[in-house]
Amino acid sequence: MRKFFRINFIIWRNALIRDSKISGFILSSILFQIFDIVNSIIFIVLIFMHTKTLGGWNIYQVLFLYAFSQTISIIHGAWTKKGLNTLANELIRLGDYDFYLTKPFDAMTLVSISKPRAYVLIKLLFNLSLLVFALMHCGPLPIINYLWFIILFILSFFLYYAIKVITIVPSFWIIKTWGLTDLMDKLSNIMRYPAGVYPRLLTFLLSTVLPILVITYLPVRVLLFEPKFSYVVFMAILTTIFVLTARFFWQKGEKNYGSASS
Amino acid sequence: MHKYLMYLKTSFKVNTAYTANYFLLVSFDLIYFFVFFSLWTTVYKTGNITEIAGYSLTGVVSYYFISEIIFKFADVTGSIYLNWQIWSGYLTNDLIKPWNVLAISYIDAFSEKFINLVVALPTTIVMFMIAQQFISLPTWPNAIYLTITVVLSFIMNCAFNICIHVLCLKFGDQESNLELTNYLSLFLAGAFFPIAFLPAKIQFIFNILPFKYIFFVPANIFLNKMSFHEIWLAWISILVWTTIFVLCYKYIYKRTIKYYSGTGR
Repeated sequence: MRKFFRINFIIWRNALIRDSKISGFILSSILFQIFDIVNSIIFIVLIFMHTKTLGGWNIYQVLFLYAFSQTISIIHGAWTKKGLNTLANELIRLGDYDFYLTKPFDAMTLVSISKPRAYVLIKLLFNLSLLVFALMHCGPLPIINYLWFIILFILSFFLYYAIKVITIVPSFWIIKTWGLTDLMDKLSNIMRYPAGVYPRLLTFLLSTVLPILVITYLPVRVLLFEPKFSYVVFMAILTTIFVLTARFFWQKGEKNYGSASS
Repeated sequence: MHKYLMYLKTSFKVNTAYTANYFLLVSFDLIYFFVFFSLWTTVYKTGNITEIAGYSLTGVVSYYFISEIIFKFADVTGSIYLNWQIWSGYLTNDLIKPWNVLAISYIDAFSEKFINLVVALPTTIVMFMIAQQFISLPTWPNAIYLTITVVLSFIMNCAFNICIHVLCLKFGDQESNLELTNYLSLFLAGAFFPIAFLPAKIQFIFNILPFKYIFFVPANIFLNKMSFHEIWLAWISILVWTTIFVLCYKYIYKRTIKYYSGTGR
């Protein structure tokens, strides 16, 4: 564990040095990210100009859900997204995965954390402001709700990571498919809205087979509506299954990896 | 002309080498459609709404359906490589050959987008079959006008994007600016929701800019919401904007090509 934090520290320090040298790029990226938030807020406001609730949720609850989904995406975007995407884009195809296999550290973790993007975290500041703003309009909430919410947030974080790994891992077998890197971004759109928006069968599938929906829906539901213990148990089981599945497929994929000749 | 046809043929070959990748990409786009489809169905049903700014539920779903198809062809951001060619030094290959950089960029974008559109056919059929009760089809003349408009807006959008790409000659890698301008232009084009949903004062800004011709105008032709006179005016407008962008490109290229070192970064 100490090694994990030390490696992370070194990689993040290098990322900060690198990012500070490309200020123009960072400025454009930040503008892009701010605009993305503004666009989404406009879209949500537009929807609520014509309806009072969306799947039983009011505008502030939906805003909070949106901001929460963004928070998870941003943290992963800053920490693990680029590293995992490189697996599909370059590492397998060019044989550069050798570099990670030869290190005395878990290859899956090392690939994930290898390319952090520090500047992405700036978006988190805007996003957190939106979270606080929406929460202030959701009324006072019991402390227990916050407690369960924090636990579910941690589980959501791991579940998101596990699903991302599962979506990327086919690149061990299908080499020229860097389109896989887009899948999680597109799936993340589903997390932005309450489960009530989707048809029941789809909600069931998105909560169990591909549980992208529960990543945000359950923690926010627990915080804003009902702190049910059963939700925490369900989420814990789901996260464990998906983390183990991701791990299993990664190890299977590794066996299929044949360096630059693959 | 022969050399450009040869280039187009080669470009098609290059793009078909990655069909599986394209298929994955276009299949994932289905997610957007279904999210918006579910969202607007809920809004109309729970709010007991028959129309929003002249759009019924069928109108909105059809809007997203056709936008999804147009997106496959008209969104050229990732299909023009001029910026990359400049900062990597690969532009030298084009400069020493007897062809026009602008024409080559157009061919690259066209071949990639055309393949994209063809590969997307199965997913488009799936999309249609699932939401068909909410999709209204255009009349035959409007289907033809739609095709012409999409082709013209593709030419305009390419010219706009190439203008940003060529800035790389003087200012270095434009990737992040391209990402930003692409997102802005998609927003202003009405790719996320119909421009008509916005308050009238904001619509004014969207209407004076050329981006509405990429999504909003073609989608309204699909929905039979535009008269031939309006469509005709839109075509003239697109051609004027294209000329402006091409002139801008030529001006920037002429002024900045001297900064190109051919060494890459």
